[in-house]
Amino acid sequence: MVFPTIGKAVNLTTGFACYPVVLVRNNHIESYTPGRTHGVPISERIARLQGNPKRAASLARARVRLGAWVASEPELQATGGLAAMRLKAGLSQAQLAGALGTSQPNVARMEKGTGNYTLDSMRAWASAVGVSLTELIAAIEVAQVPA
Amino acid sequence: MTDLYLCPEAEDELDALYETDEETASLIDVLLEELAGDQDMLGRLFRPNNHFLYMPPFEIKVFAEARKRGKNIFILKVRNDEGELLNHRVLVAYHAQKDRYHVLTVANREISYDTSDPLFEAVLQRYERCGVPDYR
Repeated sequence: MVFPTIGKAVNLTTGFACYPVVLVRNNHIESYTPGRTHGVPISERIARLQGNPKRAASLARARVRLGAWVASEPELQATGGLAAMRLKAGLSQAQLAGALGTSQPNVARMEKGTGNYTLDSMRAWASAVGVSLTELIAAIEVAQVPA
Repeated sequence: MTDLYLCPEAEDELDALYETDEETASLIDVLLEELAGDQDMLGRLFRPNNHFLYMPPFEIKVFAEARKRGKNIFILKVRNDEGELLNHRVLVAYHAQKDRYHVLTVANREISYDTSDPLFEAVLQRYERCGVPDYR
């Protein structure tokens, strides 16, 4: 279908805010729904995908691949060691946070070496990502070294 | 978590990509998730006039043609396990005043740079709808 060229964006359907709006400009048609203009935060999108077993498995595989890259990247080995451990376990920060009973931002701080660590939390952390406590502590120590 | 949003059209594109190239789609999702989880990384990467080679797995540079029009859009290129660039590009707008990132499109590289393709005009429209101001 060919739409006429219209020099500026026009609203072809009007009405209540929840109605889709169609914009036509330079023969290209776009539609959107007011109220979704900022879109979806990536955290919400990932949460939605995690609800689909096939997608969740796909995301877990992608994290493992990303973790392998992070671990092999020399520039990231210091700062990314803890993230690589998590990714290799197929976990997101939010999932690890759930396993540790903490928040995603706290996991982000922990992975940067600036979190508060207890022996219990480190044991749970090591168990969740499938490494030994010794390996985890070594990675934390590396992360705590100033760049 | 840093404010990183996918505009509805970009989310639809990424959902559609799962049907044809699940590995690429999931890698893009995970990479966006990890970037958003790092409060500092996005800020370091998405700076005007910088071109980061973060190999592997990704590369970020300014979208020059959009910049000429005052649009603060960056191109995120993702690499596969062999370090080869994937066929899809992620265009991300940065709202500096609100420190917020908007994924505008996930598109095949053959059209993601083409300013004569209708997608380019669509991306500019999405930029406006996300409320990101022009920077001149």
